[in-house]
Amino acid sequence: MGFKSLMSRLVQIDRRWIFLAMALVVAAALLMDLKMPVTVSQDVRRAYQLIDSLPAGTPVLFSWDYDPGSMPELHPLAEAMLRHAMSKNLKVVMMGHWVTGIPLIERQIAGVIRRDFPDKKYGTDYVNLGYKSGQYVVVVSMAQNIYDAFPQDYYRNRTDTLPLMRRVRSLKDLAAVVSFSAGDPGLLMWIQYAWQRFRVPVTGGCTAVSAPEFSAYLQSNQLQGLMGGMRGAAEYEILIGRPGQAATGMSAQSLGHFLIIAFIVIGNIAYFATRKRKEGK
Amino acid sequence: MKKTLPLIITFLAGFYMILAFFVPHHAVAASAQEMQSWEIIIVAFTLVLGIGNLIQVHAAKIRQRQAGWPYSLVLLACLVGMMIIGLGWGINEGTAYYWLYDNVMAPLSAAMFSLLAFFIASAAYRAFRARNKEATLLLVAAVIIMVGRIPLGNHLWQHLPWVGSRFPGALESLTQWIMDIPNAAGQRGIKIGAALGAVSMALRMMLGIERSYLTTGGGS
Amino acid sequence: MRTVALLAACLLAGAAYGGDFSAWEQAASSSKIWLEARDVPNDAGGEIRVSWTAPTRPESLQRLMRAESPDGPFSPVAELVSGISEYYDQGLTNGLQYYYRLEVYDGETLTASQVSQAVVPAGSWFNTQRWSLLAALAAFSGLLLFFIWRARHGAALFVRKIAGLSAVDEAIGRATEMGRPILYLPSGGLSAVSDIQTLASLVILGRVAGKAAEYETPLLVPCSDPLVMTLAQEIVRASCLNAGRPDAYRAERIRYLTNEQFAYTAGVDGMMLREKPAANFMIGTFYAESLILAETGYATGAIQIAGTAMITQLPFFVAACDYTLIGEEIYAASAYLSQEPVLMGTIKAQDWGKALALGLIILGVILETLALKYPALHFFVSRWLASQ
Repeated sequence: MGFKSLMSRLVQIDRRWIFLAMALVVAAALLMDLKMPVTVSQDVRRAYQLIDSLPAGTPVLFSWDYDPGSMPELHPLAEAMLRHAMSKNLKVVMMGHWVTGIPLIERQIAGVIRRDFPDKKYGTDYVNLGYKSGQYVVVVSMAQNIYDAFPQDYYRNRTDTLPLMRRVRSLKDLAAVVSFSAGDPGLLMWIQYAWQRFRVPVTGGCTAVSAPEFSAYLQSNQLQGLMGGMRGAAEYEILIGRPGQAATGMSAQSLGHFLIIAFIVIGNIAYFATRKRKEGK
Repeated sequence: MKKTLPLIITFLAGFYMILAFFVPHHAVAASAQEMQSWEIIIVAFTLVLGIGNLIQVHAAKIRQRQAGWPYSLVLLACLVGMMIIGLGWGINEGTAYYWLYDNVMAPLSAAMFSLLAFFIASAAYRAFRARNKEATLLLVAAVIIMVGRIPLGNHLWQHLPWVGSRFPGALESLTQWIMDIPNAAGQRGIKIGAALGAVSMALRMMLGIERSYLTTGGGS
Repeated sequence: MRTVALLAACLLAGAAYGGDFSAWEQAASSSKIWLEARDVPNDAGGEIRVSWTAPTRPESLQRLMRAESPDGPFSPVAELVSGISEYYDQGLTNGLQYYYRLEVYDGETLTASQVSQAVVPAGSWFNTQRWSLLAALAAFSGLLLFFIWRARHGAALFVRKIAGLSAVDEAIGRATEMGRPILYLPSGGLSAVSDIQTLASLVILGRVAGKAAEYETPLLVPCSDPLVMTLAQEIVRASCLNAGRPDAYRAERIRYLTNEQFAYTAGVDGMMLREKPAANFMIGTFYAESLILAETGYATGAIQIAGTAMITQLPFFVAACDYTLIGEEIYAASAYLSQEPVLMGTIKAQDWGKALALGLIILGVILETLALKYPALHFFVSRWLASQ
């Protein structure tokens, strides 16, 4: 097979070969457990500093605004931040705007709080409010009276009977809102309502594909730091001194990126080789 | 009347919500909040419509033994099964519903999302061709971002002969510059245009100029 | 446990002070706490903001007290940990006078602030932080009405060619020639009828459905929101009627799949692979599903027209689709496709609105630059060009 014929075949390559190459590279990186050096970006540091600067006992809101679909990317991110908040002895009020994402809160309560912070008490140190339909209407209602928005928590306890919630009567009683967001309702909605209307600082994380959307909000300080996808989570894990799932995943992501670049280069070589041939004819 | 009444309702509801945005007084805010609560209730009820439609379409498919009817059967069985399990035994940790959520729904959804990695690779292979000046610029920017956004990229850059030691943070700075300046500027431009388009669309609907969405057909 | 003990001690001490008025006076006079209470501006009423500066230790506990008379009786409003220096007291009655006092217990001594001045909560009839937005809305509405008026009086209005919209007929024609259906997605897996992009998409659906009915080409519309499905059914039915083909309408082709993002994506991908539509329209709000849908559509060889105002998804659509409507173009579609003068007038107003926004941005940049030398100008920008 000549060079030109090879190039011609490469231009028309069956995309399943690309899929196979990607699968092999990602699997190999994960199986070999390659370690990548992680440098912390300014945006992640800002998110970390917001949580780190809060005095012990300060109530913060964590909102799980994603579902199992985005779990691989957002779960490590939520875990790192929840771990940080717990180690700083912050009081965490949890909720979510995606109905199918609520059991994921339970997963993290079991995986982070009950396992690594067994002294933390439900109702005093953390509360799971669960889900309430209504998106931004819920946020506005929380700013007026949180007991009206959530009369009961996820376990059907009356909200106003929980010691932590007696201190948190409104969204404005919270020092920060942290949203882990896969779309709408999510981080953008929290910026538009919690920060823009009620001046509660907002930070959080999102999927890597939607991270560029938030650069304008970061520049205008409407968003206090951001963790974009797996890389953001890996950086946060480094900051709290506990590399975990995300730091491990960075090897797969790095090699995946390089594979895509390799494909782009091959694609362009093949494109120019075949274009010249066509022009020559 | 069939055409006029929805237009009047649209205008009044739209105008009242705009009014509530500018007038925070309880007299207006409370009723606007109430209207939004109605919306939540109505939206919650529409789920029944959705389930009804699912049952109708798939039951017909099974009855008529159309191509792929066994899949419709699986769908209906899963729908009813999850409903019974959830309503009968609860949805909290330790229940059968939770187990199914954890071991069936979560991995399936995550698998669909993970397809994105494969599709990004194939789309990049096909689309990123240096066909002209603009496409070349796009390609170069994409490669810089892809390399600069991963730790390995920066690590390799620092080990490049000559440039790596002289400008160790150059790649990271360039990546951040592309994200903060050209990317943010382009985004803001699109956002301003889209926001004005959305306001114009909303005003057209409120004024009854745009009425296709009311199913009475076309503009006026 | 320590916190609980401190809190209990604070409550007991506070109760003792509350009962002994002379002791309270003594504490107040030696107080170093500065406290201020104000009605929250631009709100519905019933809320007062109390702020203070108090010398506290990390283990100190603070208790905010409220009364309806300066002489009391004061009752506790909130117990707060050290470091917190403001509190929004809600659920108050508009028109009543309220007085506040703060007590700080540092484990040994209890210090109290002086009683605040009387504050009367009241609702505002206009949010003064939104003057600039009101002015912008009024200016834009004025432009809109002016151009509608001009269009009604026969002025010729030019709108540039939008390739994606010009290709709508081509895509429908191709599907008809190939004898294959058209697939129309009115937003992705997270759509809602209250989303303006979804509504814009439904407007375009009406035009596509009319043409499809005319050419007797099947139109498949999978929906992720039951209300969107109901609207889509009605729109397609009306379009079929308007096209003089009521028999072309099939309710089962416009159906609900699920409101779960990736389950919806899987469902639509399945339809693309089974039904092999010759033309795919993906217009509205899309998130991570955009590329999965567009790449699957590409693999089936369909002509693809996408459109969204979701900035992060636009590159994916541009890469994988034949035509992409970018941002505001989806809102211009109904005017462009119908060429009705009144609707075209609104597009013209949109352009002038954009020019106005551009002018304000340039003005803002100039003023902010000059504000480096003349700081008073910064006030103008932050007060009038920024808004909540």
